[in-house]
Amino acid sequence: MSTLGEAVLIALASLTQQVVLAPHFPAVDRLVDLYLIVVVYISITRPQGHALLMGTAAGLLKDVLTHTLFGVNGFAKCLLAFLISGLGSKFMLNQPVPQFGSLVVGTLAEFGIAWALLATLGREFADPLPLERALVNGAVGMLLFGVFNRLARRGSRAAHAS
Amino acid sequence: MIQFLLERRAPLLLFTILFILLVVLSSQARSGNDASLLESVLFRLVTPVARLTHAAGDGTTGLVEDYVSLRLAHVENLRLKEDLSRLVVDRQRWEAERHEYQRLLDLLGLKEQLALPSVAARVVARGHGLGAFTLIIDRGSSDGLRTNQPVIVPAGVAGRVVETSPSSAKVQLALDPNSSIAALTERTRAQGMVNGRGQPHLRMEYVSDLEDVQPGDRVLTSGLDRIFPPGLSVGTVLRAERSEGLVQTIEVEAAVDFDKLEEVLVLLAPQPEGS
Repeated sequence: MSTLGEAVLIALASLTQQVVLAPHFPAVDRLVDLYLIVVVYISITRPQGHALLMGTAAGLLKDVLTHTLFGVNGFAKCLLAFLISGLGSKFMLNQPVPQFGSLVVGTLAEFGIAWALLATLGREFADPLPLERALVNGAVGMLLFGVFNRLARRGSRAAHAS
Repeated sequence: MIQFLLERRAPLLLFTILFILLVVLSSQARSGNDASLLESVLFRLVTPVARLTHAAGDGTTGLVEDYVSLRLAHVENLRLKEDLSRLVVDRQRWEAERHEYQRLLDLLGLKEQLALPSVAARVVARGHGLGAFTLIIDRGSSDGLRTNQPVIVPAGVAGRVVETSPSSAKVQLALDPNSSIAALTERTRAQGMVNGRGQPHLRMEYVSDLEDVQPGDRVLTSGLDRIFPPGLSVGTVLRAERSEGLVQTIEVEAAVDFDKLEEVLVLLAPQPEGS
């Protein structure tokens, strides 16, 4: 997937999360983090430098649209993208089970990073369902990864054809 | 040196970004102001798009919700129409039952008032043909009915039993041309016979020209025919005309609406022979 495609993906994830899930399906919004799913996908499929930039962008976008301390999500997702991408360069993460594991571990890692960061800054951090979020993100992410892969293949075929 | 930096591009980028973000975060934490300059700029850039998308999303959601509401309202409308139809039918049935109940109550009141042995009967058929005005009721000789027993309703005299079978009886209505009831006017006690004519109004005959009979006078049974007990209402004088003969021509409006008879009371009191 091209950088533009990834940017569009981040924007779509952001809009879906903020415009559809948050106002209309708050229970789903609490359990699914579309930003994180996209960041993990990019981290698995792209080089480390590119992944951490896209992760930072997605995190900052989330910071802007949610009322958290600005930079927390940017920081967490930047670090997360770096770590997952680093793992991806050493292990095969393009299979369903490792991908599911990446999503679960990614969600928990982001939780840990955000908690540590906010604790350092003397802020409270409340996320009552980290494990549930991790599992739901894993399940939803698996489905979305299939869609993303299909989109990526279609995009590359179109590029070859042109 | 450049080669070294290029090889470690990703970690350097990470540290740079994290450093910047930490500075931003710590400045916010120190100042207590949650909105940094970077955030404000980004917020201004992003919010119009988000607002537009939100509005579009709301519009679409509203449209879908409106459509769903309309469909639900349509289904509910159909259901309510069915309910309404059923309720209208129920109401008509209840209204009919209420009227029947009232009629039966009136009949019961009359029965208690008369203190005579009687049998309530339901009209099951009518016979208005060939100059005869009769009813068939669902009580017969097995219930104690005999010919010439009076048939009454709360409004007054309806007729008399003319034929019986074990389970039904034929009643000759007061307006039958062959019906004749001994009667008197309530006010002046003028005696006469009320005869049916096959028409809505009855005729009181054999009343002396000398008697004072006025329109509006009530006509009651006199009991002289030994069929009807005295004092039952027969009707009201509509018109009383003095003719050239010795008697008056008196038209009487029947007390009973013969077209609306549904339940009647048959008086079982034994009538003397030769009535």
